[in-house]
Amino acid sequence: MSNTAYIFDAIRTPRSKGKAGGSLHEVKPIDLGAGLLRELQRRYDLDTSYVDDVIMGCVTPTGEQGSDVAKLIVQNAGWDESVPGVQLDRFCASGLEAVNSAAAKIASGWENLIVAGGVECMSREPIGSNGGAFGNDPGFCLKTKFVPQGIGADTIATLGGWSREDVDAFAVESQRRAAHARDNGYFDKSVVPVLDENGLVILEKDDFIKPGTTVETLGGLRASFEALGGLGFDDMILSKYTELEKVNHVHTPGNSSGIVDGSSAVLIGSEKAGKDLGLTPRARIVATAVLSTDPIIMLTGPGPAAEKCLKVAGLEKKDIDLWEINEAFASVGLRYMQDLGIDHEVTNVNGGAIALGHPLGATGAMLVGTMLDELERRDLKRAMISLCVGGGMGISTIIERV
Amino acid sequence: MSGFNYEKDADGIVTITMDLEAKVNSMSAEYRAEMKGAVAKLQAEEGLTGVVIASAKKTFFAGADLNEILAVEKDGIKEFFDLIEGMKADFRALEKLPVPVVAAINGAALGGGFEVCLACNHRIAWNDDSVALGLPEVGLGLLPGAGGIVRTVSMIGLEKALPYLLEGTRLTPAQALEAGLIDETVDSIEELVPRAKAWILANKGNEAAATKPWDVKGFKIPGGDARNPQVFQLIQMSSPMLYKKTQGKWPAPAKILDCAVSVLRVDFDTALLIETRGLCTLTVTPEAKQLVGAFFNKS
Repeated sequence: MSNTAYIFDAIRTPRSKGKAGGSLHEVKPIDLGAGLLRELQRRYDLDTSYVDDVIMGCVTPTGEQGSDVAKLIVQNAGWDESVPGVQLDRFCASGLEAVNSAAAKIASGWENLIVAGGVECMSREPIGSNGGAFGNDPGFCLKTKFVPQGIGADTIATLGGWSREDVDAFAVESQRRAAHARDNGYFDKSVVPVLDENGLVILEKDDFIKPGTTVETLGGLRASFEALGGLGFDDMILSKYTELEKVNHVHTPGNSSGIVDGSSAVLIGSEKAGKDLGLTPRARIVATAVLSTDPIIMLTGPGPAAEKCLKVAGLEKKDIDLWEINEAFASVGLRYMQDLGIDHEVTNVNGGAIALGHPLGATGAMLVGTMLDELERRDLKRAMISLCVGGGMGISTIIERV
Repeated sequence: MSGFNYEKDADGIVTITMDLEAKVNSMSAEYRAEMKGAVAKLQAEEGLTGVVIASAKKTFFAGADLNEILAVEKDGIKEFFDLIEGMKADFRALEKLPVPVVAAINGAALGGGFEVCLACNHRIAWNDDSVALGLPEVGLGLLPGAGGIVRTVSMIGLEKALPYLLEGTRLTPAQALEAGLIDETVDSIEELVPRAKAWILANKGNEAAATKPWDVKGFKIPGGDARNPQVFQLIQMSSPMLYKKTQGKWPAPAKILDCAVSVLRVDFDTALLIETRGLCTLTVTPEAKQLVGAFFNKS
């Protein structure tokens, strides 16, 4: 019998535009992450030497995010020198992978208390800075028919019959829900203001959200991947999806996830850790799953991952109260709901990455906190968290309040 | 008349002669009000062709108001932060004017005084031994927080800027010219303002003369940014080399080094903000209070 992996807390920074001019651009990744560790320490008067490991997702581990940024965040936070740290990368799933790995380690009984989260300062280490064969190795790209994610997202929309208006409407709803949630304090329990060394506030709340977005305002944006598709990527993906005549390019910056800076940290541990430190569990991690689907279209993994996760948990769809799918692109959310036969009413109830932004390696663990807070606010029991992942992967986690 | 004497000539050049009520020009409350007013006036000025910043005092400008620095305590950091940011916003406004701004440096310009000069498009100094230039803040346990770090690194690159910032070296006009921190010298004090005006007239319509390099799209820091292999190596060795000198005892050089490297990693305005935060941090350290106090006793 394995141990139960409890969630004691889940916190995050606010998210802000991940470019020069963004509110968090001035903050080093090691400071952004360390602020969260210090907040966990402060909230629970935590004896940091008790922490077995700190696992942080980071998708662009180069430059200031290089050299095992998780360990450097631990040191930068001034935590006990006995605390280790590891950075991992499963593309956009990295933050949730960190949570799931932590849960597995707790369940194994080998470790008792882990911080799992992520950090991604996209303004300081731009997406793609770390290279890799994706897009950069012609031998690999031609053999596997690699196309950029946006082309995959557009293909998903074409397959689903979702028009530009459909994806824009999804984006508008994300903006509306996110603004409502922020403005009504739904995120306040988890969002930790980012402070400078003097204790001055750099950013208190999410400031990437664009309230008042309408289908009309989004309609003026130009499709992001049309030109790229025309260069040859459309031909590559259509060779696989022969039922399509063409790719309908519907995604724009307005209905895709925002490039932002942000960090997250979830405190996960065993019953023993809770007793030893006087921590009250808020939820438990019921099951996790990861798999891969077609790597060319790349973004269809979440539905199957959620099904696999349900199977692992021995649960059915009706047992899940709230669903959270990372809004990498609007069509990913629409496809997830279609695959699972679930309603938008119970999916991404507080908006998603289209409105709030997607700090690649940090997002997964952020969504755990968003769901946990919302389950508590609505007094519901279980939530499913899923993300699409590069290479066609999908990842899911079920949490349950205790 | 005291304050900032504002005079526009027939060529459309405004000369601002700083002559504050205090014995010396410094970054006092009086200065801040005068500068804010002057910048607003310049922004609204019609037919403006250029600006000369000059001084009626023997020293050009003395720097920070050290009494003010000494008085800042931890619970007043927010006010101090706002005050510094306000001053820096005026510097930014000055360098964003559509016409060239020239510093006519007739006497010592150290610390804040030199930062006034750095915010100008062109710096001309009287080539005299009394004209000491540089950023000696480190010696007071502080950092050049009115743009001194960000502008020197952006002007001459990290490697060349670091010694001036970390050692607070005082430069003669000839040395400052050699270092690329000023643009020209004149042999007599009488030539200063006429030379400044002549430069403005010679550059009439030359957009580059009125624009700071970092406000031009595609600006690259001389010597390269943090991804440049040589700069990368310099950054790696800068920590042990500094430690060898300070043995970890003084917070100011460490903070200066960190801010200087940040200039290579973020945009200009963000770097200015980081610099302000660093100054706030240092201002309330016991080391700064001790060194500023000692400076008062000495002078």
